[in-house]
Amino acid sequence: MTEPTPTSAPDSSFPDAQAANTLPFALAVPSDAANVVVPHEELEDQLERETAFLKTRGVEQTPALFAGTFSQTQSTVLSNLATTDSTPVGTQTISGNPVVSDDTTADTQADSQLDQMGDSVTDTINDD
Amino acid sequence: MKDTVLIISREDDLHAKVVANEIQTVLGARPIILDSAQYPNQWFLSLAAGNDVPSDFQIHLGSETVTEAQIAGVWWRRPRTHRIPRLITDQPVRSFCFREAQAAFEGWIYGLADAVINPLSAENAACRKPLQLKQAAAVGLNIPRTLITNSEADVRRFYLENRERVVFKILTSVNWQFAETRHLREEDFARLGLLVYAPVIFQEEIVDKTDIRVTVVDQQVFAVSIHPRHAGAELDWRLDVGAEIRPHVLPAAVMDKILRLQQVLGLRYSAIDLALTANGEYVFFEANTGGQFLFAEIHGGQQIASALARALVSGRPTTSGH
Repeated sequence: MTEPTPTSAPDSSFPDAQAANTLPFALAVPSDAANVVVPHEELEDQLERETAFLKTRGVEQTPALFAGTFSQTQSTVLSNLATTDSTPVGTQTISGNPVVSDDTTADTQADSQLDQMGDSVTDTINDD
Repeated sequence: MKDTVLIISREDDLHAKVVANEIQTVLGARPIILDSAQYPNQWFLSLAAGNDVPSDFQIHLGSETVTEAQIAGVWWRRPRTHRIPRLITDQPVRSFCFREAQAAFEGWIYGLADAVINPLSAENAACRKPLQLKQAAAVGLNIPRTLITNSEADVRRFYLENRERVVFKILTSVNWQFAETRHLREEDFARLGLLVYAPVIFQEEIVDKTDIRVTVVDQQVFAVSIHPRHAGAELDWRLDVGAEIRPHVLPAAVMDKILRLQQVLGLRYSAIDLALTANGEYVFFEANTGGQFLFAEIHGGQQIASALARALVSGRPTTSGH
């Protein structure tokens, strides 16, 4: 009996059923992040402290929340969300609303695609 | 005169700005925030080499020229992908331009060795979590039982072996959503087949812990404890933007192991996540080779930007302890 070649052998460890789902496991599992709610006044206090710190360092830029290890962009989105009495942290994750990438805001689609090719030069290396 | 520090990042990066301010106003040196996205079409880099000439580089930024002789240090802070002008429309040609730019740019940074924070050869290896965990254990740090896998069967076995207290997290990071550390639940098992798309880190859950963030700049160690104040962020404190940050004193033995790990990984900077358990043990989670630190500085009172600025201006690792 001829052994099947690697290319012709059915591979039961890679089930076809998974083909219907286009997300890898870590991104497919729902997050509970939206359940973490931070009162608006806490965010304001924090932004105030961070603004004051930045000014002492000669930085007049609109502050972002540094707490946690959110990237600047994520923090800005979070602070922009803080328009009600409380802010569901991680809303952008749960809702699937894309956080604007640092690297693609001014790009054409072609540039964005190109950005995906850079394995070793990205905005998000260890952005935590 | 070596009085110039290059910070590889975008111009509106607040971490870069704060350190640049320290370099300029406190240390009297010259910081330049250099955006790799603008290379090769907005600024110029020329590298010279030869047996009869010293190796050298020149950067031309508008009317300004920076030479190798002026460089005290380089901070590999948040390099961005090189942008290729839209005039180049053919995708294979765009890819070629990108790779050529990357080869020149990274080759230049590699050559600057430990004048860079972090040396790129060390950075590119040390940011890999499997290596970190192996080296952390080797220097004597406690690490959680860990399984990094794309095998559903092995995850199921790991789950039972760890009495159904397992968490999972990603190996890298994503910039379009937040992927926090999460519990593995039985209802997630139906999705385990999706591991064939991307492997995941599974670890035993460390319960009753306090999170500790240790930022290391050369031989200086800055530690804070992090106390989430809102329900749901106990497992991953990053979800609680209102978490309380307090200065923390590491035991000398733990600090020594941290510094040993830093040395083994060849790093000059890292932001290390530890857990302090209820019985007083420290457990290593991961080292973030480019981790954020301003939250620990602003809310935890750590003088990290100053230490980083000094390390960049000195251009080489310091030997003094914290």
